Amino acid sequence: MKTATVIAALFLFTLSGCASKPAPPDITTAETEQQTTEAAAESEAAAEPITATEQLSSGKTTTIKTSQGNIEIQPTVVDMASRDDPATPEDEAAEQYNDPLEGWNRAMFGFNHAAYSYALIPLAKGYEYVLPDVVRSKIGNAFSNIREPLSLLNNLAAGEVKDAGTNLGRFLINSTVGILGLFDPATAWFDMPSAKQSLADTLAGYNVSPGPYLVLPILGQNNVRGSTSVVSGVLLDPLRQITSPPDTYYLQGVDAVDTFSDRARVYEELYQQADDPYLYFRNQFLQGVKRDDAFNNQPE
Amino acid sequence: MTPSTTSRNNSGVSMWLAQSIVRARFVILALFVVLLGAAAFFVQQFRIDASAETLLVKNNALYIKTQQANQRFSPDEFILVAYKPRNGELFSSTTFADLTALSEQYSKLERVQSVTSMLNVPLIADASALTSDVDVSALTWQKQQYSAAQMQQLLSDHPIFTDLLLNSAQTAAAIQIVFKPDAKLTALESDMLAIERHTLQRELSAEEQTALTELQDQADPLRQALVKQRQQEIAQIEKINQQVQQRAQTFTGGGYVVAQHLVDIITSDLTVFGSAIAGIIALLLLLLYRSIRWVVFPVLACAASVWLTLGLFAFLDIRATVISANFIALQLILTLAVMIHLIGAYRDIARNDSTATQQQRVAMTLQQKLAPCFYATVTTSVGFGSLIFSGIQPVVDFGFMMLFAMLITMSVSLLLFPALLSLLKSKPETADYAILSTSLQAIRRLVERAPLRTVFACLLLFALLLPGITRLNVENSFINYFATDTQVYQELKFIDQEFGGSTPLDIVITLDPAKTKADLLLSAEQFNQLHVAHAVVAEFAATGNVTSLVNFTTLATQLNDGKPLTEYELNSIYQLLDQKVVNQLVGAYLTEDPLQVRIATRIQDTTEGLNRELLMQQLNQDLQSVGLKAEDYSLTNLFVLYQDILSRLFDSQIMTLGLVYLGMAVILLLIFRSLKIALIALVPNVCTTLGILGLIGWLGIPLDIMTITIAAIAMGIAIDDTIHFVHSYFKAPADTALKNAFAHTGMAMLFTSVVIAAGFAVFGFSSFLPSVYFGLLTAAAMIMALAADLTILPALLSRFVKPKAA
Repeated sequence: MKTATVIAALFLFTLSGCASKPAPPDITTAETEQQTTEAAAESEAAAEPITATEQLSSGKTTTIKTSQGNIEIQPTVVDMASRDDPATPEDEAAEQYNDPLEGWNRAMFGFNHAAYSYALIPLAKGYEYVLPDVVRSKIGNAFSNIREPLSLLNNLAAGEVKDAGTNLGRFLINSTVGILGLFDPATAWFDMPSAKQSLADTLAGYNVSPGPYLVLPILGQNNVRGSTSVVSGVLLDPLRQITSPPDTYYLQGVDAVDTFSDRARVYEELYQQADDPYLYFRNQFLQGVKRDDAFNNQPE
Repeated sequence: MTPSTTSRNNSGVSMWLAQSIVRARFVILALFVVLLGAAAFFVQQFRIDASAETLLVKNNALYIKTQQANQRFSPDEFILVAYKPRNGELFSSTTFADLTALSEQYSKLERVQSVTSMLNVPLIADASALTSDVDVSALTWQKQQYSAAQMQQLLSDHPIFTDLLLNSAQTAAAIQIVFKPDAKLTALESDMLAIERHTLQRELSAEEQTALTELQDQADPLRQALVKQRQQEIAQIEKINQQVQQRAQTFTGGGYVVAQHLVDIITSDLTVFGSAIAGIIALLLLLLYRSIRWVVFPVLACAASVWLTLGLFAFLDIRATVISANFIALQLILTLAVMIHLIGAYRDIARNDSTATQQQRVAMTLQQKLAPCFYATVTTSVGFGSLIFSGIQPVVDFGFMMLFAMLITMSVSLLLFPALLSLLKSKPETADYAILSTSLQAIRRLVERAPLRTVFACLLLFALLLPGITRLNVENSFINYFATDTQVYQELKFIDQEFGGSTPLDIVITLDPAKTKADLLLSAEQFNQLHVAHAVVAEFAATGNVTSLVNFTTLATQLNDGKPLTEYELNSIYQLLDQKVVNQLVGAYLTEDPLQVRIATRIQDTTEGLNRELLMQQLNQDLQSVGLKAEDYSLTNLFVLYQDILSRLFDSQIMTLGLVYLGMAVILLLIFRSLKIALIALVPNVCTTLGILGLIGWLGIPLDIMTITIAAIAMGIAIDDTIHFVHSYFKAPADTALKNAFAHTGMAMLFTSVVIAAGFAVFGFSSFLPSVYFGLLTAAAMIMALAADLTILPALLSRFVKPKAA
């Protein structure tokens, strides 16, 4: 337990660095110097207005004028690049994908790939082979149910009292009526869809910026904010409260394999189709985070 | 040379010809018997080809581009059957049971590849289904047995299926029956296209031409079989639909269903109106001549000419299309018109000289009428011939067909008919109706007394019609070809309005390769180029269902709680989906190398006040204003091809009419050898043609590929009367010239005009609107021409030309 606290404290410390900047989420330390040049270049940017296509790509709703009147278009596919900056393409990439730890990350990515290919994927495949679809889905349900209290805490921390109530209700119903969470009567009968909330969501809600990209061993890619969430998730795992090692590790292992088995094929296929899989996974992840930050806080 | 000397020269030739024809009557008869027998051999192979293809101008850039786009994206051939429950409950177990039963039976049809309805499409409730390993294809009603309420919730405002599998009002569901392409035919067509595409840059070489013809010969029987099979399929589908009639209304529509209905209507028009016109002609003949022989012989001769023409067309493999399917009726009428002039002259001769033998009478008739009848058929041919220069393929084909038909009409009426006639016994002829001849003479007196005032009065009337020409507009759509009270129209209209439109229009966009990102199929900026264009297209009131990749990403966004996909997620989904599913879902909307996307829409033809030309113009303008360069995109498919034809209509109307005027002037000059007479003879006909165009404008009837032929055809037919009249005007001395012309030719003109007008007017009963307009307007033109020929023409003649004694 002690080590856990230390690690958690370490992450919180790193995070506080991220949180200290009230700047918009997509502008990070590396870019602060550029802010001075930004104003100067703004007139240049004004000369060539941002097109509807570019606005949509940046995740903004745009309005176009046509012979049939003005049409408002909501983005459906985005790259979340910030097009306000008059930056050269190289700078743009650096700004869009905040990855100062690329050396470490690439090494870790390579290590993970080997681990996945030779250990986790065969394991997951075996797991899939042994257990039928239905059983796997039930096991998945059970693990989600165990994590329900964690969501409850995060929802409370984020001030989402109603969602926290949902978490509580779901946990009570599914643990009892749903036989230790193997079934999900809360959704099916009580119309209470899950209200998952991770620490990362909560932190994002407090405008904590995601921080640089970070690949963790085995746990995979993330940013500092998300890694905090993942690691704390492991450490604060309710499984640890209801079991004791080594059972905890076994169960956590099964949980990991169960979660991973869904993604094994996905990972393999995407890895194979990419020229530079590291960049592919990194960019997909970072764009996703930016997109989530931009859209989760939007009023519906 | 004066008119009288030419007519004397001509009469020398005419007399020799007339006597030769009468002498050779048995040879002629034998020859025709052989020809008729030969025709009988081919007639069965005569074909009607009313596919949409026949209405298109081929071998132009737009057509080839459309073919290329179709080849690249290979969209499915499908029929939509809409199911509208009578109790209004679309989401109910009855509906689901019926849709299941119908789908099952459709899928048993031989050529059916798949049957899609809201029951077997995957309905996804959240986005996780797209990114994880869930089998999307299992999320259907069939597998999950969703409740009626769930179905309604899943399908409400669905970005992909609304307007396609159910209407937005949720009162009807549609079943999409997708057919397998014929692999052999597809291969042949792609081979043909590979050759044809060279015509975009250069002429084809001789070898290419031969290769192309060879391929076409191979493809043709396959196409024919396909048309027949489609016809059976539609009949089978409609029979299957009968089973649910008590619970629901069904509507069948989509692609070639319209074309198939056209074939049905045209085939029935061909026989119904062909025989109706024959009947009316027979009745009129009986009424006018009160003698059986003047019914039997003309009708026999008409039948012979139609029979020979059918045989010839079958032999040459010329097929009747939507436009040219009227040729039987036209030929009947035109053959008859020639014969009425012959009969008129014959009866005149018989009454004047009752002692002459039958052969002498026939010879005298021919001597008198051979030249004007010959010229009259030539001018009619020129009228049709001008259509060859219209630049619109179906109209050009029609022009050629009618040229052949006129050649046959000419030989039948000037060779076979007199040969037959000379076999008859000479009998005394009945007198013409006194009331008709006295009224004709009354008109003559009026014209003689005040020629200039008559001319001015008539010209004033035509002047009133003229401003209508400025109101002429062009519009054209398949649906509007059918009368609004027909079942076909009702069904097509329902599909058009409730299930996303009728005439397909595709926008193919070549995405900016500079915006490509490594590892990504489409970058966000490339995708959003498409998205903006999609929004532009969808905003038009007349665009029905609009489908492109945007529908899929909109659905994904919707499922993802309003969060858009990132470009990487889009790519991941594309990579993770099964290749087969990918082809099925997005294959028709995306191709690589070069990276092109397609926006498919159908134009709602029943949209109030739809102006297609403006639509195209605004669409182009809007697409360019959102950043697409003209070379980045192309508009293709049927809508564009029809529009291309429409844009040529004005030009080709002017072209054909100009050519007709010129051709007629030359022929009149050749006949009468006097510029003055030629010009005078032109005046009533120019008045008639411009008048009829004015009338079309005033009535607000749109010019389409059928109505633009009216003016030229009307002129070709109407000028016959002019020629006959002028011809007989010069036959008599100056003081009795008019009286003679009115007495001898006036009656025949009246008869022919009435018979022709009545014949054409029968088309008014067709349920195919272009035929209706064509028939009624040509009839109107005939009456106008008669009026002009009996007023303006004699007035001008008596004022400006005095014939010397014959």
